[in-house]
Amino acid sequence: MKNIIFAGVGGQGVILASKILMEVAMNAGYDVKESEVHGMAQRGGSVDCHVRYGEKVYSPLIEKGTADYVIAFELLEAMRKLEYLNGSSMLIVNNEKIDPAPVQTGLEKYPDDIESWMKASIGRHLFVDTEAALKEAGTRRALNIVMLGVLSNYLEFTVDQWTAAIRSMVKEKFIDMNLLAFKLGRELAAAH
Amino acid sequence: MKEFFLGNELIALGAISAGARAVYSYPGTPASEILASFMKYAPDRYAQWSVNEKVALEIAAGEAICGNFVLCAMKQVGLNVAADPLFSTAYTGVEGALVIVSADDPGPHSSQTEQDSRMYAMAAQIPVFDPCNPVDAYRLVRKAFSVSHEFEIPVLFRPVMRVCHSRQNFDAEDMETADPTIMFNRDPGRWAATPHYRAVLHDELLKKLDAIALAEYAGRDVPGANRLAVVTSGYPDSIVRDVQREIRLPVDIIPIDMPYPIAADYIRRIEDAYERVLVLEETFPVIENQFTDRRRVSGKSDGTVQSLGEITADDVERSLSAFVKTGAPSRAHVALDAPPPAKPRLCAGCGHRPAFYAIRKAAPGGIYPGDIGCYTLGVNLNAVDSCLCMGASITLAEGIRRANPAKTVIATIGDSTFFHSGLPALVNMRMNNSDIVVCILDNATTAMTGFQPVPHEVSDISIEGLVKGIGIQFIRSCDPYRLGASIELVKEAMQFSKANSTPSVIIFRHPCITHGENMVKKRVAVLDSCRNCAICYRQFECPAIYEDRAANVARIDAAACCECGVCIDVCPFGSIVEAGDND
Repeated sequence: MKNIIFAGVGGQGVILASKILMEVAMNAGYDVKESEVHGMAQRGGSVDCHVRYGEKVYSPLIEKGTADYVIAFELLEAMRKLEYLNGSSMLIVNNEKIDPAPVQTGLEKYPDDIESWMKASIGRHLFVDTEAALKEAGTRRALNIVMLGVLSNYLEFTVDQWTAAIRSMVKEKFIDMNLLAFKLGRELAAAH
Repeated sequence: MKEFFLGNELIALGAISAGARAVYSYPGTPASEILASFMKYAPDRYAQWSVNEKVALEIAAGEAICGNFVLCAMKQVGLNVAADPLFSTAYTGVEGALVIVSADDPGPHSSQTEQDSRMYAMAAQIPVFDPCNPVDAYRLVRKAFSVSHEFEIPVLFRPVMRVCHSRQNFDAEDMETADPTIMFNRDPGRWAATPHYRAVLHDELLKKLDAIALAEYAGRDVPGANRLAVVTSGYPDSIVRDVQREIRLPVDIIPIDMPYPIAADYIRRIEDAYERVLVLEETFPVIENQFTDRRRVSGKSDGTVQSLGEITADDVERSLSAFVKTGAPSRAHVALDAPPPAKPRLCAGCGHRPAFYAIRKAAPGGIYPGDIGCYTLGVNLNAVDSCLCMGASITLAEGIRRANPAKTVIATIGDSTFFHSGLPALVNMRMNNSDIVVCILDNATTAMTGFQPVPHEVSDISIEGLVKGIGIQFIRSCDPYRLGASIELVKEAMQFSKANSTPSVIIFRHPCITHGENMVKKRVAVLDSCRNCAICYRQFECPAIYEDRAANVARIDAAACCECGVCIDVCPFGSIVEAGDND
């Protein structure tokens, strides 16, 4: 059984990333369940998806302290999910900062230096700089697929399985861009 | 072909495959996707966004008493609105089939309450099904239709948010079903029953319930392998099975997919077979309260299971450990202080924002009853003081004004909510001539729940025409992007209402920025004269403006800005201007 959490803010493509992983896992023969939150959260709030796959999965929600991977599209969103980690979990983070409302309006501060704090506190972690990859892919909207590319290095599926799922899940005119984004993400992890 | 389906998609598919020919709904998280999915998978059948849940259920009942198979979908608080026809159709029953989905929201994640719709089923005396995952929802919605048809009774279907908004793989099957026979059989003793006949119908209803309970539970065995049993219902059943796989406690798991009615004999057999029973269900003790010997039953009444909030795997482990009296398994996870929250806000460029800002400016000491929708977020601009239930901005305003004769009261309500239940409230206000300004925030869609259509979008119904028809004299509309004019208009309406002791209505009209394209394109720039007064990013709270602490100025986030240009008028120092080509 694998427990994977995607975390980001509205508009970062968290739900599509989780749907592609679900497709890959399902085609590999696993039982898969996912849970997401709709509604007010989508107006600028935190968005997360829980994906679980294995021989048999009953509940779609991941218990605290039992995530195998947390993939955060933003630093602060990574902080919000730390309670799902345990000693052997891996944290993968896009090391970008997006100010939440109280920070943007100067009422609260973005916590200082959370990147080094997380690096010191979390056993397995990978902080990636996606800036160059997004530039090469040509759009910031490719962040979710770049992050999937990073994650793909740690899961049991082949590049062909990922490619097939991406092909079937994104709009035809965006397939090439997304396949490039996936490749760049995959190489990004290898470079670290 | 295996595919992933959202729980709400499988509820629609289940209804289609059970022969549903029509669906009626009013949008509300977490039920909103059911109708759209029905339209997607059965484009040749009928789907209607009704004006509110009571209307939806009554039309659905009208079809069903003529023999049609009908689905009616809403969120749990929608069932409060539809409670009147719910209780009454239980007595009359239906000819075809009527399944009412009421999606619950333990937590709550996006609702005013975390009520348990299964209590409604008990109160109205109709069967209710409680699915534990999306595929189970497909199976049970089909069963709900079959029970409804066989016993001529409306059936409630209660998925929780974690069922509605989970995805699961599923093999879609053939959806072809035979058309039902449609005919209205005149039967005044049933469809137009007077109290005398109602008593007869009630007797029939109780007999139906006994027969349904017997049909469902008489043939079910009680496992009896252990001395302890965990009775589960709905989503917690999925959690219990995951937890049990890991910690393997000496308990039998007994799933109850129809929490009401449960055959008394089945309850007795469970009581006889076990020393003790734990009931795990969300959110109220519906099954638990049906046990007769409660001394051996643990659950909400003795505090073994929590009585509020969503039940999580951690909670289930705690409840199970307390029940079997083992130590709770402890999991090390990282503890830390909560980081600043990612609070929901109105979108950059949203027309509601300048409307709220204008209200605050025009009536700084006022009381502002608000309503349900995206625009509840007007609370961030200190322009929403109350949010009770759909349509209650107008009625609360009347009450608040009665209690505070010296105060200015300005109510805000969205267009969809106005049609839903604001209209009778406005009639009442006009009838009693309360001097209140009612602002209808018209963005021409139901934005919060995913842009479902509104009456004045799909027909030539006019809000002005309706308001005029009830005799309101002051009816003016304004694009809230025109901030100065909006402030003046609110002041004018306040004066009119006060002078004439009567309500006035302003329609702030700007299409939803997220649904359509922004037609205004005014790129803005912050001048060096900015003194960082914080009005633009804190009081006006535009998400596209932020504080640059180091430089002690406000700055525009070009990526987030949608170039509405309203902030130009918001800045009291003229430091935000339309950008030239060189900026």
